Amino acid sequence: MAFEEHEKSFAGKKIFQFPAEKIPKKKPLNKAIRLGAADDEYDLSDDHVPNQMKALAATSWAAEVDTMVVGFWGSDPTVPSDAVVKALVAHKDKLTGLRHLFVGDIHYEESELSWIEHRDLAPILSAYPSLETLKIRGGSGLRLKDVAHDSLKSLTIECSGLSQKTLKDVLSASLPSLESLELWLGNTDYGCDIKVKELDPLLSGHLFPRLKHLGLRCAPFGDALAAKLGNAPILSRINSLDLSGGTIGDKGGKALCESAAISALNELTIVYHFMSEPVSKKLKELCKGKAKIDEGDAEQEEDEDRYPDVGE
Amino acid sequence: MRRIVALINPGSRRHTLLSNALSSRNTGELAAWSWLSAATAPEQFPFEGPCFVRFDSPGQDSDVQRRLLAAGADGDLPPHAEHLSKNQALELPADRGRIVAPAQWYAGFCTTLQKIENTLRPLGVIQSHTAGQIAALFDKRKTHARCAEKGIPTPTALPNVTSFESLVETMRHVQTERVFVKLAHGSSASGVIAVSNQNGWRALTTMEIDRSQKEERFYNNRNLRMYSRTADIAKVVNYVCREGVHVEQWEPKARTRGREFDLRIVTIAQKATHIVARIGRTPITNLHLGNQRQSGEALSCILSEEQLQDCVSVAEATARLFGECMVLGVDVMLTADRKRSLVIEANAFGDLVPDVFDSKGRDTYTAWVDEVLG
Repeated sequence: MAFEEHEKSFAGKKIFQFPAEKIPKKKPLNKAIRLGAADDEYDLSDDHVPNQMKALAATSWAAEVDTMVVGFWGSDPTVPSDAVVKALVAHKDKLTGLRHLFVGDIHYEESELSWIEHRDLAPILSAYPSLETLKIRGGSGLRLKDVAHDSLKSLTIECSGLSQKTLKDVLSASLPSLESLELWLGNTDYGCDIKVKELDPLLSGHLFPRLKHLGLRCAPFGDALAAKLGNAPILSRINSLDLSGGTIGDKGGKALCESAAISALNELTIVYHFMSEPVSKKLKELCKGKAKIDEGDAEQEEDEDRYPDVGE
Repeated sequence: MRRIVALINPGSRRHTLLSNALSSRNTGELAAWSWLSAATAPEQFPFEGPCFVRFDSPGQDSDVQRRLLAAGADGDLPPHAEHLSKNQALELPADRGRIVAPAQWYAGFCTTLQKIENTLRPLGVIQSHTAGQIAALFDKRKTHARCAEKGIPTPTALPNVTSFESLVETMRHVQTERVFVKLAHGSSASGVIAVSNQNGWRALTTMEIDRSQKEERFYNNRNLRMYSRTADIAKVVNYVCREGVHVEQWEPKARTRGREFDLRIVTIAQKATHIVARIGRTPITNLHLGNQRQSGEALSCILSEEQLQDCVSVAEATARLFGECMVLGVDVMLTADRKRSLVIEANAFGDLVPDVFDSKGRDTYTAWVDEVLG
């Protein structure tokens, strides 16, 4: 998985890169304000985002900013996002309108997904009690400790390896308004040490009473997950399920076909998988055309990338 | 007229380019002594009459690899290095990209080279390289030591690293937070680990740990990975240490448009002829890892004439140090402040840089043929 460029929009708004000079006198209409390294900006100092945030907080329209995107924040991919968190917390009384936040709009030339480094992002939630959307890219070091937030409706974590600790943080968070949860599980090579049974509290349906959309993407135990999901109470509570990017094959696909609740979903998305044509077809039929399932890829791609020593 | 013979893997890219070079100079067909034949029967040189033997890379052929490993089965290996018996070596199953017993491979390679040279000497063959200098070039520790001895600037080596634990200790002792840990006998980004402790221990490497088998295996993988669990970092570092390791300070390189770069400078008869800049988005700049390259006039956008001359100068000094090698591929970097040029690596067969031309419009192989004929 490689993000090749910066996102062109977030929360339904096009991006406005906060400039170094000629800061607008009025809030750019209907735009997501972006901080962090712009396209083709390199070698910025670790103070770059804090400085930008200070300048943003000093504008006359800071309180009108409802959507923010934070891009690459460091001089070096190993720099964690703490300075970003601190800056957000420091200016919470100025950025009172913030409702939708994306931390980590970083493409692979700035940093590989697996190298993006965070610490505890929970202080952001404490500082912004009216925040509705939080999207995080990067799983290494990520924590969301002791979260209790009444307004958050959507939480997304994109990463190449979600740790047990992070998962526990999310599953023990109090998020009564949460409607959409998307977690990328990832790969053991990149820090995913989660076993499928650790998702049981989520699958039991006891958590997140308002949840409507669930994404459990890039699952390394695709078949086992699908088997559990088939009978899981959560499936009858949600409208929409996304299992893209994982290792789900025919075993898992068949388990989903046998699930009573699957056909009741409004939307089933499985892009990139290992199911054969007949199984994908059956699943699509069961979901009466509301499924978005691509051709999948029955072949292991990994070996293509291995190369023998050239002997120079 | 001496017959030009290449000690090479027939059908390889190098073979094709060398053949084309010879054809373009109307020197007839390239005679090839395949590495497989040479490794199987080094005492049987298949050509008669006065010959010029061009030594070239044995890499990327699994049958040759098996033979060279077998030849090293009785070799003098480091105490805990991987070891295969002769039969195990010859019967090694195909497994693309797998890193197997590098120290044993090196021992077998050196033994075979020596046997080949012993065959060629009495025949009055002229060699493009000597066995001794190839052997030194395939050992990063020896290459580094020789350069340092002669005052050729290189990154500082960290001595006495025998394990991850001793690496941690040594780094603390010399007060450095970033090093390159390299397999002494690897090449082309095989067995190179960039280790840092700036924000917790991190290792960036092409070495993939495959845990799917009973015993863990290591592979060269185009996708750079970052290990952040110390157990994994220790695994790759310890493996490399067991096989023979060379550790250096990780010197930040000069940048062009925000990205680090270095140069591959090809020397022919000790003179720099072809230069290509390798621009990487990661610390491991080898070309085949999908990094960008720039050569010819485009180089002037990246570094000044003076800086270029400085790099050329250290490359040529290295080539003179390995004066029995007609061809050399020297990797040179400029420090971040652009004040110093450092030799990072010297490759005995480092002239595979297609699409790079000298001032006369010749690729490296054509330039080499002209040198031999001239």
